[in-house]
Amino acid sequence: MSDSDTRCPRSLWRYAVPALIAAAATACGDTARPLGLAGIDALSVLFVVESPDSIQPMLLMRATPGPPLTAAVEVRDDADRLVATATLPAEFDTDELRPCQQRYGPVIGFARCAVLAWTPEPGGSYHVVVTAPDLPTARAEVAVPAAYHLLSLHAEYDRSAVRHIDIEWSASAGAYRYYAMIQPSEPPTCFRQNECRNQGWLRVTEGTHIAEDIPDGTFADARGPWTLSVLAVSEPLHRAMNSGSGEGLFPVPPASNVEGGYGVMGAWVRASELLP
Amino acid sequence: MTGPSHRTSLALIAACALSAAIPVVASAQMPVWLRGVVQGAESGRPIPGVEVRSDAGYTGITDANGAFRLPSGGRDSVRITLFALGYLPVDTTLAVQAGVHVITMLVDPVELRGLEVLGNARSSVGLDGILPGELRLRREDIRAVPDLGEADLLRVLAVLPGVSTSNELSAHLNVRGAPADQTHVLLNGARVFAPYHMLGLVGAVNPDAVREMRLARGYTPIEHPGAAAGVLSLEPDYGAPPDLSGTAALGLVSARASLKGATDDSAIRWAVAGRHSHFDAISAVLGREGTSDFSFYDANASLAWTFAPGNELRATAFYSDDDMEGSFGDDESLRSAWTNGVLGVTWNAVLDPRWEVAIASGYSRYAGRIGAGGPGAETTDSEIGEAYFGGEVVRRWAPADARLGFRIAHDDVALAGGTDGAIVVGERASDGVQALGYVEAAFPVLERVDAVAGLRLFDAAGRALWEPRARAVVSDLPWIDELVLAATRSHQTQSLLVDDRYVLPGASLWIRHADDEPATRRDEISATLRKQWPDAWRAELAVYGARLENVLRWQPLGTRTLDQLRFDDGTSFGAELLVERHSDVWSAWLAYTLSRVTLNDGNADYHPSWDRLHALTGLVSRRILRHGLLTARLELASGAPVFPIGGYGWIPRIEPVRGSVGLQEGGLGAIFSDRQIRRPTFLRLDLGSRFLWEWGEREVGLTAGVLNVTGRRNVLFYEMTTRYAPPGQPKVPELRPVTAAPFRIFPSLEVDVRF
Repeated sequence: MSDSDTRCPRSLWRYAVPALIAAAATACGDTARPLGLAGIDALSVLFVVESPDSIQPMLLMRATPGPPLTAAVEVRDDADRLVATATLPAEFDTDELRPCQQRYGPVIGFARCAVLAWTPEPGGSYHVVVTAPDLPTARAEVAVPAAYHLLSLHAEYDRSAVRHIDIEWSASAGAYRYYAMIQPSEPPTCFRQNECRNQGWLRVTEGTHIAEDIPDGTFADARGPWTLSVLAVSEPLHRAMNSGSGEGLFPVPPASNVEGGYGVMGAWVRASELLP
Repeated sequence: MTGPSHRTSLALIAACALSAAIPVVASAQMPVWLRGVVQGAESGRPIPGVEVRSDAGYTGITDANGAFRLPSGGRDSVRITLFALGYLPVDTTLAVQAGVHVITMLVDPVELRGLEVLGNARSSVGLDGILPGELRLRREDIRAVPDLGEADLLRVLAVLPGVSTSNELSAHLNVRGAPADQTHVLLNGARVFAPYHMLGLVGAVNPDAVREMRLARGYTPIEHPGAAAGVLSLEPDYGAPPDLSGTAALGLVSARASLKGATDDSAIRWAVAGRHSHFDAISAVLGREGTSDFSFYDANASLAWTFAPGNELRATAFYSDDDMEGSFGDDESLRSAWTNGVLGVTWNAVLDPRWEVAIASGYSRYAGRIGAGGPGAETTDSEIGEAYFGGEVVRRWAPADARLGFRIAHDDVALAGGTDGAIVVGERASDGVQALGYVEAAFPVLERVDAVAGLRLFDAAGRALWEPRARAVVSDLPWIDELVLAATRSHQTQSLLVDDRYVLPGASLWIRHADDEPATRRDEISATLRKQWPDAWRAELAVYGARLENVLRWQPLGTRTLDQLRFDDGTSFGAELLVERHSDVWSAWLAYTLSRVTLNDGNADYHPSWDRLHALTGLVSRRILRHGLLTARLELASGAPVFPIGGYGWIPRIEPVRGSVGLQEGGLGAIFSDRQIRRPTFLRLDLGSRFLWEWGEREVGLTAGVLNVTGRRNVLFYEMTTRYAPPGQPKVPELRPVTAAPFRIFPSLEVDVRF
């Protein structure tokens, strides 16, 4: 070994050993501790305005869980006239959620439910403002599609299933998509709440006419009489119902039209017919 | 495109001519340079990459022709020692004379050494000089670096200064603060679009098929356009002298083999290599079959044919195939498959001492598919192909050189997503011609100052992009050997589609910038200081600053549609320090990188996911006994930034049976916070060893190591949890590290045979 080789280890160890000890010491740190807060100080809103209806429930929560939420909701029309208000008190009563559960099903999250006694006009535009202490004001424009009606309906069905449907309706100004659905009077057996969500028959179209055979088994063990519904859906609501991918490893946030907050405020107009 | 072997020999001639042409210098003192050529004692072939040290305190590396030159330090004679992998060291004293010494080296059947970064042992003077910011690694050296399962070309690069990755799963290289797509990986000049296997844990190219890696940071080779920040050139192994040789290796991840040979006159040299994974079998043994299945294979073939004096044809073919499926939870899975196909051909001709010609042509193709969200989910397909043809003419005068070249490429890029359930919603496809013309000249400015200036005109899909570049090299300053000042501009019009708010391993998704979308641009200035000390220490310090324009950002809301592409501007600056010392017993280097990348989304600044302010990497290797090498590898770096999930919103879904709206199963959809936070400090300490034994005329090697020996949670994923407080108390959201791997400590094991 040359002179330089005998010098080399000492000089190397002089630096390498402390570096390795420092590294090991650093490694003892608790890396499982929280990294810090990156919460969102904003409201999450779900507000599906339905026409015709006189009760419009709105779901509200803090985007990031926090202190109990109180809020005030105002709805104004095109002429800036106040058409509906609602206030969420500080005290939370579980009965408060009932109207929201009727419209939105089982509610998940730290939700509050504001109920507006309001019958929106088809074709009307409304400005919705939600204010809550310590949070930015959430706003959205809700445009209700114009009125329309069913022009014709032909169906082949019995109590156990609908086998063919041919339906046409008039166009609705402001409708981004039409959703055609069939509801049974006796819904299928669902052991879990979510089992029924993807069942049944649904078609989404930009047109005003659907004619097709419905495959066997579409309605499982559901029973008629059957109600056919067509919804003229506004664009923000359609985008919200077709976006977002949950909490998985590859999430994509749901579409939002709420300024100052998150979520959707949209509208649909319903036309329905009971199959005799 | 001009072959380095011919350039360097002519550079030597040019250097001789230059010294003869300056009588004032030559007549006043002894010749300034000690020159030599190193050859194999048995083969007579030049040996490139030999480390040459002089007792005057200088160190050099032989070029592709085995040539070297060292400053004489004013002495009549200089004692030099030569070290080369696979050869016995040489210690000899040479007279400083005008001629060129020929030194031979005997093959050492067993050789081991640590990883040596070669960049700072070279000079940047001249057209053939090393590029500012360029680093070189030898294939053999990477065996010293412990890595997951087995030694790997790409992942070892992540320990170099100026190079980072977004996470432990990624083999994508972020060079000098740039996104991974701004660094192209080339194999004999042809692009490898997805240069990785598995989740990105292993590089796509078999280490046995590569002789050397050259990583250009910031200042990219002038003949290769379209890479804004870096180029990694993998120099294929074109075979060996006449005796047939080969390797066979079995590691935890894969098995591989290679065979190399040449004709009796060595006019034709060839090499073939192949590799196949067996990680899925390992998973089955560990009882994790079906949870994460990966399989891959790759094949390489290279040929070098010297068909006339001064004329060499080189061809390389490469193919890789990956297939993976991972399950996460009850119904979420990720399935992906991708292939690379590469063919690169170059012809280099030395017409006479003044003229050289090079032609390069090739074709690269990539096809990838990725789908997430459970069985039956839609997939997104990505395809990209590029055919190119280029040529270059080099004219050498003394003391100036110049080159003129062109490159024409046709690329077609297609991305086909699906509807709302796919990784990407929508599709786009386009093709077009990318034309490049360039001119570059090297010339002395002052006695110790040399300059290289060039200009590229890059026409990408009708965009005429001017790219000036220049570097000045100041040599033999009082306290440093070389100072290199450089400025360059680069553009690119192909980008990877990545939502870097989460990790989506698998196939790469390439897009071509549409006609109405801007080209990405990088303007960089840098300064590099190089210094060697007599006792084998050497150091390089580089500082750089870059302006970034039109860097692709894709953080879609609602659905992952292609109409949500955004192009952000920003800055990147940093400093890179590399200190090395190598002897035949000890090998050590320490690298420190200071880096800051800031982009602006139009409203606020943010830091991309690969931004790490501090990164310290170190490697210490010691040869033990006669046939062993122990290595410790350390990485200590600032935590990378993340856009965490900061809140939730309801996801409405239509419910046909109810005729109304409901909430998506799971109820709440994640909302990313716009406040970035950083992961904990990254620390990883690996220990590795390599032992070699002679087995007849064969060598048997055992490489073993333990990765992350401290068990540090260098976390791959994070999750948002809510701590439920008593009624009336705030409920606090917390972002907690959650390791996605079943183990924190990973083994590394490989057995190889060389014959």
